[in-house]
Amino acid sequence: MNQTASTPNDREVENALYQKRKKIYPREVHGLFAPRCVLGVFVLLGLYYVIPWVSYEGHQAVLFDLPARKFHIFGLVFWPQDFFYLAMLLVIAALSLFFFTALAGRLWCGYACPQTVWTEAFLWMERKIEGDRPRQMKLDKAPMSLRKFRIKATKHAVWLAFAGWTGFTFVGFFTPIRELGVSLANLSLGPWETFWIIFYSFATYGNAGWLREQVCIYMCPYARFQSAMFDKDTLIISYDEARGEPRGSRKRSDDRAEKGLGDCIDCTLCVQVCPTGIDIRNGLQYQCIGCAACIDACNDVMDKMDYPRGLIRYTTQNRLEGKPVHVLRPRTLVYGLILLALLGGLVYAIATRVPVDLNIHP
Amino acid sequence: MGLVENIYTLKLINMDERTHAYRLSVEGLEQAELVFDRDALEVPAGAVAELLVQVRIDPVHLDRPSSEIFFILEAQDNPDIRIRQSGRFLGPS
Ligand code: SF4
Ligand code: SF4
Repeated sequence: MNQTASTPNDREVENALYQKRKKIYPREVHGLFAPRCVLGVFVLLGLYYVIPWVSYEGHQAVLFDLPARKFHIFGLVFWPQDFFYLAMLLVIAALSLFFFTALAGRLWCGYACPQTVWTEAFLWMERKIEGDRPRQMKLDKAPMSLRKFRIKATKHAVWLAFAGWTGFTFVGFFTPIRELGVSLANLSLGPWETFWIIFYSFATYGNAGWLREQVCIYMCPYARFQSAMFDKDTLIISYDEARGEPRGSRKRSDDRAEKGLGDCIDCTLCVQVCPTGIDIRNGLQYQCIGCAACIDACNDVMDKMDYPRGLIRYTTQNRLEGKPVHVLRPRTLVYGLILLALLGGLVYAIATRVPVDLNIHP
Repeated sequence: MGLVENIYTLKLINMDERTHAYRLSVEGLEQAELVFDRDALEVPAGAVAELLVQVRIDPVHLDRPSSEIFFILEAQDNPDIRIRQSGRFLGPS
């Protein structure tokens, strides 16, 4: 995934833009990475929905009070005069993204991006209501019937309810959430509150329910520039071509050497679990969000076949080519050091912050 | 000749979560006298206070037409909440 490879990718996107999107039905996975991913989803969603309800010394602990231009974060209050801290925080956030991307590829996408996290939650609800992948596909192919209508209506109602709660929580970061709840119950919300709750709810419903991987492929700017931060030592998810090819189906008892086959049994499970619907065996592609679902799926297959795990695994281009791997290299060292310095600076600045400001006009 | 006087408008913002009473003083110019009618200034949490203060000095102590002067604001209940801001004191022209 270097610059020279970006041209065909762009062309692919262009072509894809004119194609009708094929709906992707990611299969559920279990394995080494899936629980970690679920944990991430739980922690992040939990934080999002719980934080506005936390109180601290009699006021909402985290509140971005825009009309009063005050940002409360526990005991600290930030003012427009404190813009410097926000700017510093943004620089640190951007730099961490660079640092972790250089080190381990699209960690952000697979584990922490709100798009992934909410999509996971929506997929989970879909699975609970419509059943697993084969059932979902069957249901979609079936003609409209009362049963199909009932299932689909339930799904959208649950999605919308969840999205509505998400929108309400979002606004709760900007207006005291308890009062907001009371106004909602009395149907006395202000026009702006109503607008933002509805807007954010529909954004959630649309992005996580309908658009899903298309957000990553067509809309996300990070997906576009992240490859510039990759090098041959960046951790990527990759299929071991040397080991897997030639692929082919076989019986478990077959001797693959005799049949002249590699380790890939061509079961396509790795494709079925992929939330962006790509085939990792075609090499690193910019659509891959590094979610590790294909690793889990393939490891399962390898276990069943009694082959060693890791036909698809976290690795680096250098390792695949049998060259030494450098975790510490100028790029990561420089990013890491600047990041540490900035973080230290921010902590120091906030710790020694004086909560008074004086302006002098002669 | 009498004393030289400069008038300043100070704008102070209490960015803390609680009310503080502040004390104001000047530094940097020996013999300068701050004329400010209250000895403590109470500002509620999150509020802005504007005050008019005068600084007087006998011009014999001024060796330049314009000298630097520092205003120091300190919360009475917490000496860590202290800010020192510089301004200019203009002598007689
Ligand atoms: S899951 Fe593994 S064995 Fe199955 S097709 Fe993918 S790479 Fe081959
Ligand atoms: S190729 Fe694998 S890691 Fe990449 S998005 Fe698909 S399932 Fe996730």
